[in-house]
Amino acid sequence: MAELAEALCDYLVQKTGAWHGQVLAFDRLSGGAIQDNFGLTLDLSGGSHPGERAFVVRQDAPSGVAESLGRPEEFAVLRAAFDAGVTVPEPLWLCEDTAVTGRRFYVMTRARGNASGRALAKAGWSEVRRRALVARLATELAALHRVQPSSGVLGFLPAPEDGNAAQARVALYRRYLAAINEPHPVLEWGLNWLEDHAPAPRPLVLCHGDFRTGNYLVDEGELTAVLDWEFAAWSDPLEDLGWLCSPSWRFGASEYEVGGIGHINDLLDTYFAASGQTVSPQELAYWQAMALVRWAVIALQQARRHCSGEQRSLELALTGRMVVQMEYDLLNQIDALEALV
Amino acid sequence: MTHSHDHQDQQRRPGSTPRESGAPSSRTVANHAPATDDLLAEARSVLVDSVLPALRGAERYQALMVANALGMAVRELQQASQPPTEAGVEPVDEAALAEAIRRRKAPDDRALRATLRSLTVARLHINNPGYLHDRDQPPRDLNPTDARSE
Repeated sequence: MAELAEALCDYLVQKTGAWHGQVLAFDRLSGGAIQDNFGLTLDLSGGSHPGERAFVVRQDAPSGVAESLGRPEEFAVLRAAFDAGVTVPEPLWLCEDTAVTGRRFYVMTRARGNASGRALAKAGWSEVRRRALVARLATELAALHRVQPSSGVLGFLPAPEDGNAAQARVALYRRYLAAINEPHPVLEWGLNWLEDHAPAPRPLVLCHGDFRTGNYLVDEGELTAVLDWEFAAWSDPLEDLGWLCSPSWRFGASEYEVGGIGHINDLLDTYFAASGQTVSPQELAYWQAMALVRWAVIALQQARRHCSGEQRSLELALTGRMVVQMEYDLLNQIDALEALV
Repeated sequence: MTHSHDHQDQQRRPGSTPRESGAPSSRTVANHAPATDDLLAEARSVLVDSVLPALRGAERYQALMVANALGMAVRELQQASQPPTEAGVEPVDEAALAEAIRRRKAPDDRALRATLRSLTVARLHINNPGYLHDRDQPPRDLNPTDARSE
């Protein structure tokens, strides 16, 4: 660890043009299933970032998830989000030279705050504060969703072939499920339902892909950074909204449908005000159901890693036992959605 | 109602290599008292009541996961020891059902949805009964600690 800290310090001294740098703190940050995240606090003398500075270093992990972005692509996405006015850590330097630390990494500013879904759901905030935070989530998404493929940036990001994200997801999750080789009639039924009831596709926009409680930082009730951009893609903007409102990300605060924080009508009202896009509760509910199927197939893949012996882990094993919760939520979600019509 | 894989996984010891598929997954030699579900329930009680309060951070989270896993094992053993009618689920060939749904050979009617719900509720009775809504609640609730079940 100390050797890595010194290597990164030397790199940042060079990048900032400082004449001296000292490591004040270096620690591994939690929440990186796919890459290694480090917090690095330096005292830099001179250069572009003088004084005590807190950085985050995101490094490629030895084994990546096939569908997620590598560090260079993620760095470009973060830059695009930053330029679009989304609240993200400022992306500073990308290092593709593996001679520095052994892997590719990038450096960004370190934002204050807590991302723990459990802590946020238990925060005991007033309704006023909850509405404000939900409104902030909506404006962040609206800002992100203003970035379109026609902008010419991020051409490497995946996009559904015929522009229909819902049908592309159904096909993708069917492939995932078929590869699991374990019968899941509820998920098969849910996929049929999603195929048959897809709303009209909206124009593709830049989507975060994992926009949920647990992936943004909150400090004193204020959102300070949207994190974890490795699943960004061109998609239907409703995919991000549905994922944020999935029952899977309420951390026990099930009465607050928006990530255990607040209410859907506040989210949709502010999203409309900020983007001009009207979203009906039915349309959102459809994408909430999609979110449940997505998390279920991902959880099945995680459980396979344990069961196959590839990565023995109690956490992965228990994730497999959680799939039935998503199946149960899916049955209830579709029941409720049909009652809305 | 539970896949044979799951039985194998539960009985595998930590650190052992994955069992070859098709290997026998259980023995039929009866144990002396206490029964295994009693043994595991007591082990879980010690963990939750005595060990857990002394733990913080990552170790606390790990212990909660262990308690969660033990709770599932206890409930599954208890259910397996009940007569089939009381367990409440008629056997369903889930592989055939999944295949029929995928091939659009199973009409999406009330009967299908009732089957899907009962399969799901039965599995939740073991994995996380606290997650069930009131209308699907079991008569008694072992109230599991739910690390890794949010």
